Amino acid sequence: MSTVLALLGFVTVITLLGGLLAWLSSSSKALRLGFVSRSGSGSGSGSGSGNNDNGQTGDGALLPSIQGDAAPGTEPITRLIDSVNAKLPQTQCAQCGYPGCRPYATAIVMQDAPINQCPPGGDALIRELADFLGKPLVALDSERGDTKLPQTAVIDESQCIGCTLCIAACPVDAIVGASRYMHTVITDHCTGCELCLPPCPVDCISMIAAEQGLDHWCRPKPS
Amino acid sequence: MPAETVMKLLHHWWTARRDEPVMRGGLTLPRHKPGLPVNGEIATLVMPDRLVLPLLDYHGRRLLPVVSVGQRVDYGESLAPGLIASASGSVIAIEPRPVMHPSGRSELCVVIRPDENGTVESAVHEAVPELTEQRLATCGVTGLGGAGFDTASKVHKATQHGEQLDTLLINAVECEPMISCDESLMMCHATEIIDAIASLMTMTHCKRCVIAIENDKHAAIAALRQALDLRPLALTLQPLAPVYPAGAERQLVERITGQLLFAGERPTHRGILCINVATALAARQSQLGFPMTSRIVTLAGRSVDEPVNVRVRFGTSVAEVLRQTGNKPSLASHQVRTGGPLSGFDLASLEAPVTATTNSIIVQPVQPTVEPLPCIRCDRCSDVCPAGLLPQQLLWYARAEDLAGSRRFGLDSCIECGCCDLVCPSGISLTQTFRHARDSQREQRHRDQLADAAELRFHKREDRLAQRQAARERRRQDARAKLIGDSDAIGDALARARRRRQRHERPGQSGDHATPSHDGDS
Amino acid sequence: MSTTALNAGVVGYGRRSVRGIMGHVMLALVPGTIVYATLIDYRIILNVLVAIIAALCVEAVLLRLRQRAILPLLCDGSIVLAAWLLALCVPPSLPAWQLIAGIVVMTGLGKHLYGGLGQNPFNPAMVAYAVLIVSFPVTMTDWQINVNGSEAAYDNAPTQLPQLPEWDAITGATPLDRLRQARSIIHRRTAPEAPTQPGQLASEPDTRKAPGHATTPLAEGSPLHALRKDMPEGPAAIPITNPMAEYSRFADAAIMRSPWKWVSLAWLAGGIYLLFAGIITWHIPASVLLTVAVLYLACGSVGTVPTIPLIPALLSGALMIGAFFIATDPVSAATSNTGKLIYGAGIGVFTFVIREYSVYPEGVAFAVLLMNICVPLLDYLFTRAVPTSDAGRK
Repeated sequence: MSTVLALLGFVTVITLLGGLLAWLSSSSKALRLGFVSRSGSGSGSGSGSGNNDNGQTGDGALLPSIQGDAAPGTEPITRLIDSVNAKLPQTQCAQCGYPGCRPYATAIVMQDAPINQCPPGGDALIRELADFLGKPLVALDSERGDTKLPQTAVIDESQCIGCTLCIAACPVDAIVGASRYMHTVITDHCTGCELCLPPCPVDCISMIAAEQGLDHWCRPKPS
Repeated sequence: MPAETVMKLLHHWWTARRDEPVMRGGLTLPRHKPGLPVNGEIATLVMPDRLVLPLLDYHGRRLLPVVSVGQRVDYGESLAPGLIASASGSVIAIEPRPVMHPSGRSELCVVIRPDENGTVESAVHEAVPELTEQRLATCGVTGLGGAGFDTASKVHKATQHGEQLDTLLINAVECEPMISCDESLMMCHATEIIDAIASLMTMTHCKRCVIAIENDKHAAIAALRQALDLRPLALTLQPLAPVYPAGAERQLVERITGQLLFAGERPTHRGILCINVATALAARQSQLGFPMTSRIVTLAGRSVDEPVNVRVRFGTSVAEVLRQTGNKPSLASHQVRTGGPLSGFDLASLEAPVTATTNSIIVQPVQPTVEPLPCIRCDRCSDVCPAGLLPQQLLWYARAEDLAGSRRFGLDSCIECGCCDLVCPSGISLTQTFRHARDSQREQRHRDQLADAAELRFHKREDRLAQRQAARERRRQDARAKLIGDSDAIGDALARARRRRQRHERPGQSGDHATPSHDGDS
Repeated sequence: MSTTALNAGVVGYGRRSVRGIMGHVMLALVPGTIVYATLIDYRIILNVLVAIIAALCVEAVLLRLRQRAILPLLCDGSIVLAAWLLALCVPPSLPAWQLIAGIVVMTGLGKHLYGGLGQNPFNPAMVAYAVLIVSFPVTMTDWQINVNGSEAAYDNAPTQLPQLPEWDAITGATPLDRLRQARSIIHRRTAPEAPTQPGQLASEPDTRKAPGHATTPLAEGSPLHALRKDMPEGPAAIPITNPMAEYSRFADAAIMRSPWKWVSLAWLAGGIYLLFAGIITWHIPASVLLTVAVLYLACGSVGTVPTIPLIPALLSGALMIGAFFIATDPVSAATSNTGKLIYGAGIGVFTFVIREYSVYPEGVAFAVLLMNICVPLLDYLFTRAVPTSDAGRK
């Protein structure tokens, strides 16, 4: 019996040593990553049940500590908002009900706003935020809109009357023009937020699928 | 890691024991170089009736044309920055056409109908005594090896530090089976190649120059040695054991100079200029005034009756090349591949035009696809990986689209040579998985950049609006302050307003006194 | 869109298939199996056949349940190989139904539970072995073998230990079982004379108890237990003057004179064939054998622990088949070269520890399983990625 116990002790020591080694060598994600790699499906970290206990792993574990430390100064909270903001798609479309991505990030952190309000980010974003903040996975709030493919606004220049309303509406200054002069969209800067569509009095703005050059083409995954 | 250190020491000891530098990983494949020239000549194809020149640079970025439809262009005239007309003729269209790209997409191309002078190739520029970057750019010299980098900017990067170029490495390895265009070139134009290397040596002031060539290219080595006897140069002709992918730039640099390049690092960062032997010849031609408008293409494969190396003008469609060499494959029953059997891709359309990077056209009967088995981690891929990666581990991360994990396992160092695919007993398409992972990583980075830019613009705009609001507020405050300066004025104004209101309301009131009396008290 | 490499045949490369690899391993198992059947017990052939047929049936059923293509995955040979290995690891006298139960565990619990070929973190054959040895301890430790050759030779070892003819009447135990018995005898004979000798057999307190005392449920019914009950104790026993040397000599004789060493040598031959055929790399077998050798040498030189001399230690038990055939299973082993070396060393250490300090006479199976647990960590720690420019450049 005692030999079995000795053996168990040995295993424990080895495991502890291994854990220590992992901790020393790199981040605390070591074990988790290693096992994800072995399961190979890649969905291991993304499955619904797995996310409820994500508070113990990796980034999720940071959240309570940051909130705990937040009392003396606002620094950690700002950093947390920054991290959430960095995950948002920055379309500034206000579909979430907040006037831009950073306000939404602030609301998520400060007011515990739901994480499923961002249609451009879609399910991928919800998964990422759920993982990061240790919140349960939820479906995208369909009232806010649907996830669309990357798109860009185009002004039908023959119909534009030069009213500058769309210029005022564009959250990222991607439309140039002047009063009584034709306007045009700088395609590279357009985030496809559709905020310029409602103000246009002559309905001359349309959304088209964002065109990507060959240099942005992704070679497909083998079946 | 002591074990790795011991292995490294053993490797060095083993390397030192042998005359030839060995490379890690790689595969020794049987020599299979069909279509080598027999009588010292390389045939040139007849001018086709249409030349299609894609308005794309080597990254696949679009170029803006500087010619218009209907315009006559001369041989060697610029069609767009970095794009040269490969024959004189008229521009009959600028329209989307299938291009030579794994996506099989159509992109804007300049279509030229060559005129009767089209085949006349003469020097379009004055011959210069010394090669310059300017001249390389004017003549549209790009790499003829695989990636097709702009040679002028490559030379510029290698020499920009003002220091002497350490090594000029002439890559004559051509390790991929079935491709023999560079070997044919060396067999037929050895003298010109040595002249070309001499020009490059003069241009770059290199400390040393090495020609790296596989040791089983006997005829080519003999021709080069003969040419070197006629014109002795201070260079080393380094025969290498034929291992695929010995000709890959990073692997060649590692093998010749012993310097291990970091992921994402180019040889030019280390003062090494690695130039393909055919590119060197094109550079020499540009010195003499000839633009780079054609290349040698190997036509091979099981469905090609007579494998051959031919000189093909840029813009000639693959279908035309096949027709002129007496082949009539269809994409229904054949697999037409360019870029080599291991690292190339299959064409989606035979109308795609030959460009600088089209080193070969390989026609094979369509092969049945075999469903891959799961990975059993047999380590064969890591044994042959020339970048020293663990493809079996990388595969997990790449499949799971875990980009951080992929990078940790060296995704950035993968050279996409296809060795792992070839040895995999389970028949897994590892390389393609890595290609996809690399591309999606690149796109992820691109999206992040766009998001950052959008956020910046959003905040700038908010700041601007806030400033404007603040300015408006200030103006109002200023105006109020002016009024407050005379305090009686306000009191008077308020009193006047009250009186006026009372006057107005009295006639309207019908017996209800509550409001006026309240008004009056306040 | 096909950008994958052309069929290997196009560029003249003879690719090895999964089936080919498994075939080579099975080929390497053939000489060992033949030697086993000839010198030890012919029933092993029967066991191997039963195991393979059962494994194929179970695999087919499980593939069907998992709605996978049955034929290509059935033909990859991995399950046949695993069944073969399991059959070699269990006593030839194991009842067929227990062996089949092991096969079900191996295929279901060891392999398909994790997603089939290539997904299992543990060596399936060893999972089944572990389950069998805790489920059927009696039949799994009772090596009732039909001794084909003469086994009398190694009972006539030149030793002060008594000849124990009744052992063979009970069981034709493996040499390691026999050593266990010898050790307990030596201990009992020497314990009164040198009770305070430090370190001596300290790790085996069970044997300090009175004979016949039921030790653990695991040891119940094992040869060791039978021996403890049946051994005559008392003045008839000759006091042993130099227990260490005595034990070593006995071990040397017990192993080197038994036909088992030929089986071990046949495994070694098969393993060397695998090395030269390029199926396995040298890292894992070398590191397992080297570690075991170093540990035995070290213990031998310290001189306070009774140990087996080096060569018999390497040729005994399942060490050879373990080092060359079981530990080298690529799916559950570490994959980088450094990782493999550490993995092998771990197996060596655990084998030694379990052999010398546990109730089990042999520890290869548990050693492999224990190191399988460490594989994800080893794979995570020992990569060989080229440094990125940020990290590498000054």
